[in-house]
This record gives sequence, structure tokens and C-alpha cells, in this order.
Amino acid sequence: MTSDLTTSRAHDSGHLAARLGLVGAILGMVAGLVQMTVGTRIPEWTGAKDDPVALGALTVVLSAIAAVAASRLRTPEQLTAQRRVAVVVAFIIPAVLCFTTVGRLWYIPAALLLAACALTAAAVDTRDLFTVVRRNRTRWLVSTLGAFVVLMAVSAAPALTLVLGVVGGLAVTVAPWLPRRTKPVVVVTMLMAALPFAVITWWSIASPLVAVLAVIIGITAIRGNTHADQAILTTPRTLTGTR
Amino acid sequence: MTSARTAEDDAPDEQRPVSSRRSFLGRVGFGAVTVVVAGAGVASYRVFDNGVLDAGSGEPYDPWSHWQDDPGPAGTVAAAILAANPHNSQPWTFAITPTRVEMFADPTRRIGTLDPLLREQHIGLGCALENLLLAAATRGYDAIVTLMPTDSDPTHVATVDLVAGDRQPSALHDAIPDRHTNRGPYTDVAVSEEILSALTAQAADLDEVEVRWITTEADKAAFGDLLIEATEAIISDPEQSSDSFEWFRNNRDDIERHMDGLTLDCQGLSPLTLTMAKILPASSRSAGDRFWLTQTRTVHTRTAAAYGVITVADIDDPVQCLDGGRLAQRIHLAATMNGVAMQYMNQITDRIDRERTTETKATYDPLIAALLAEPGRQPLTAFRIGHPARPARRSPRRPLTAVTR
Repeated sequence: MTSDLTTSRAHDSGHLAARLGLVGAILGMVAGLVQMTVGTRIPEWTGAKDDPVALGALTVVLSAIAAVAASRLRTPEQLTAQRRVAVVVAFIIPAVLCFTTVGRLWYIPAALLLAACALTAAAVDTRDLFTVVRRNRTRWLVSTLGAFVVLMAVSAAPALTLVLGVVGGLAVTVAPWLPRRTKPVVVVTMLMAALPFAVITWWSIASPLVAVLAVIIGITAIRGNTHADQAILTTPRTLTGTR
Repeated sequence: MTSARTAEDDAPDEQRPVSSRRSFLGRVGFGAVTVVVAGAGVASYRVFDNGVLDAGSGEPYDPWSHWQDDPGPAGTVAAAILAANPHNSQPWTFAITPTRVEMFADPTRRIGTLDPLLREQHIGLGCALENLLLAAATRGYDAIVTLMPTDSDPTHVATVDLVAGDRQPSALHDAIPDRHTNRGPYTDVAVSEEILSALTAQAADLDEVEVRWITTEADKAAFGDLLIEATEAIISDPEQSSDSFEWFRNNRDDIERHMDGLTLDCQGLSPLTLTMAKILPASSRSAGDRFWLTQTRTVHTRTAAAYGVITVADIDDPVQCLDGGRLAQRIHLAATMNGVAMQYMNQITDRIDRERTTETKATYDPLIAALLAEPGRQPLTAFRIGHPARPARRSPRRPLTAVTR
């Protein structure tokens, strides 16, 4: 009886979070398009940015990711804790980051995405989510380092360096989450992704530092104990009484 | 009442401290790694925010790439705005018609007590005029130049009437986008007599303007000492120091906002030093002054292959200052053609004018006059030349739309 009630509440919260997230993401994409097209004409609304087209495009991309995350919440089956954490991250990163990209246009999308984020997290026992975060902390570190590579790369020139950095950074971000049975592939991916950009931008100091950290921590993460992780990664845990 | 027992509780007593210690060390290790990753994040953000990986690109640098796009009179101005000028203040505005370009000094872009008599402003305007005339000839215009055409308006520095004529391409014109001030170290390779003669020849058709070379070790040492002394005097003078620092653009945001001024990229630093300067917090005025003095002492004067001093008969005559600027620009372009780097070293003349306007005892004027030993000639501007140890980088420039009336 209690389990059914809890499951029902989680279901309702999930659908509400999905609706709020989707509306927030769509408004966010609109805000990004406005920034790209007429951002310079309404600087008091868009934050008077130096590069409105690039920032608008970034807003659209991040909002689109939030939209995909919202759509995942609408699936009838319960999400695993792992995927729920991914949805929370996909909501919270654009919600916070886009305050710096489209100015006041972000106020409403941010409120909706943050509400969706809170509902998504509150729909289940949050201890499960923290467990996922804790058990995958080294992977999160590596993914964060991948994001740093992308951040540096988007400001790089020429185009070849930019592309190498963005692709490599995204690969570093994703690599730790690949199936562990492909461990050699993951290691090679990590090396191939992190090193070329670091080599051609060696004088930036930060990119070689990030690459070395990503490789060392990444390999450590891949070699880590898998047994405990697998349980939490694959089993939906939504009931408060299961602990 | 039974309390929940964990696996650790059930472990033999002798194993518990080891497990606990391992757990503690693991947490400490992870915390330390997290701190390192956070530090890498801060450094990455600084790399992104301060344009470490795309120095010399973007809107402030577009004029260097698009200066030949317009085949008409506006194209001549696009070349003019790439000229050397004091502190990259770009002290010019232009009025363009299909048959005429008029050049004006912009009083809002003066460098204050560093140039109280506006000699450097006129030199910069002369440099811009030279680029403009080279571009006009290449575009098939015969240019008729009138300097200081309006007695009642001292900011109206030149009128250039453009008449259709033959195209006259020149190597000096082609060197315009490659000419940059090089503040880095120069190698110990001497600048040949042949090159010096070619640079001297640039003054052939300019009246009242000459270039004097300082090439002997003794004269170079004496001139270098005078430069260091003048630099110390400038940074000890709060007004001159402040007026200089006002034109320093410490970060990418400032560069994109102002599109002028002196930048870290243009200081001739090694790649690693430049990156560190960009990643670390912006330096204060006093730190910037100390850096300038150190560079003057250890790089600029120590690695100069030779000094050049452009002299005129009367530094108070703006026409001679404009012609001096034209010669300086020609020399810089000709040096660029020959793979020779150049950097203006105006500390001595800055102090001469400062002493004149504050009515203090003249110290630098007699010293440099004795060094040059040319009665009847006055030093207008000075520079060092040499073969560069590393290439110079572009300086930011305001677009045509910002400098035309």
C-alpha cells in the first residue's frame, strides 16, 4: 500500500517536472534565438553581450539538452537513480549557466527548470541520488575536466584547434560512462581525446594540466571497483522503504 | 533493543583501525584531487575568458584582415588606421568623400602628460597619413596633400585630394599588415649597413626631417642609460604613470570594449610567460611600472641592435612632426620588409616635454643634444631596431565606422 502510494506520488511529480522542464526548455530555446537575432537591439533584456550570436546558440543547445532530459521523465517506466541524476544535471546546468548568456530573458526559463530539477530530485529518496553521485565521484571529476577542455576549446583559433578541442573534450566527458567491459577502448578514447588538444596548445598551461588530470583520474575511475556500482546503476530505486 | 550492525562492526578489532584509516586517507586524497581539479577549472576559465588560445583574432583585430576590401577612398583610411601611434590611442578621425579624405586629430584620445605638447599625437597622425598615401597610390590615385590646411582648426591636420591616376603598387604598402611594434628581445645579429642605408633613404623626399643612427657600443650604452633613467622618471611621476596605465588593456573584455591601447599580447613575452600573465589576476599600476622598467633595462636596451632618432629643425612645428611621423612609418615598413623589428622608445622625449610644460629644469634635453651632437636639430622620436627573437603580435584597432565622421 505504502509502496503504491509512493510510486504514484513519484509518477505525478515526474510528470509535473517533465511539463515544467519542457516549457522551461522551450522558452529557453526561444530566449537563445532572440539573443542570436535581435540581441544587440534589446541589450537591456539580453545583458548587452559582446557576442550575442554565439551565446544565443549556446543557450539553444543547452535548452535542447534540458528538453531531451524532460522528455525522458515522461516515459512510463521508472528511471534508474543514475538516469535521474543525469536529468537533474541536465536541468541544473542550463538553469544556472544561462543567466550569463541571455540576461533577463532567462528569468522565467530558469525558474521553471529549477522547479523541474527540484521535483525530479524530490520524487524519489534523495539518498539514492547522493549514493549515485558519491559512488561515481571520480567519473564526475573526469567529466568535469572534459567540460573544462570544451570551455577552453570554444575560444580557440584556428578552427582545427577548436574542433579538436571540442570533440576531444566531449569524448573525455563521455568516456568514463562507457560500459566497463570496453575498458581498453575507454582508455584509448581517453588518451586520443585528451592529448592532441593539449599538445597543440601546450603553452596555455591549463590544457596540458587538464589533460594529465583527465587521463590519470579517468584511468583510475575505469579501474575502480565495479560491483557495487553496477547494482545502483541498473536497478530502479524509487521506494522510500527499500533501505 | 538491537542496534543495526554494519560489516565494519563485525570485523575483527585489529582490522577496524586499518579500514578506518584507509577510508580517511581515501577521503583526504579525493578531496585533494578535487581541489586540484577546481584549480584547473579556474585556470581553464581564465584561458577562455582572457583569450589565451585566440590572441589576435576577433572583432578588435579584423581591420588587419580586411584593410584591402574597399578599392575606393575608404580603403585608404582602412590602411591609415593600421599605422603606428602613441600607446595605440588611435588619435584620429576621418571625413571621406569620393574625391577627398580629410584627417583630424581626436582631442578625446590624447595621452595626457605623456604627450603634453602633442608631438607624439602628430607623429602618429603622420604615420597614418603615410599609410593612407601608400594605399592611395596602390589604388590608382594621385594624392595632393595639404598639411594643417585650416589655420583656425589645429585638429584639422591634413586634406588629401584624390585624383584618378596610374596604379603605383609598392613593397612598403604590402608590408602594412605585417608591421607591428615588437617589444620582445632581439637577437645579437647586427643590422647591416645596407639595411640601415635603405632605411635612411626613406627620408629622401621629406624636407626638414632626418634619421640619425646610434650604432656604436659606447653610444648605444649611453643612450640606453638615458632611456632607463627617463623610464624611472616617468614611473616616479604619478601623473605620467597614471596617464600611461590608462591605456593598458588588461583583459579580453577591455580589448573588445575599447579596441585600442596596449595589451599583454603586444609586450613581446614568451608564450609561457604570456599565458601566466593572462591567467593570473590583472597587475596593478605599480606592478606594471616595475615590469616596464625591468623590460627596458633587461630586454629593450640590452638587446637593441641599434637606435634610430628622427630629428627635425623645430619640434613645435606640427608640419615637421607630421613629416617626422611619415618618415617613422616608412622606416618601420621598410624594416618589416627586411625582417627587422622596431619599437618606439619615447621615454626621453616624453620627459623633455614634461619638463618644458612643468617649467622644471631641463635635464634630458641637454643630455640628448650632447649625445646627438647635431646643432640646430632636435630629437623628435626615437626607436630601437634589431632582428627579432620572436614575432610581434597584432594590436587591437577600432573599425572604420568608429573613426569616420
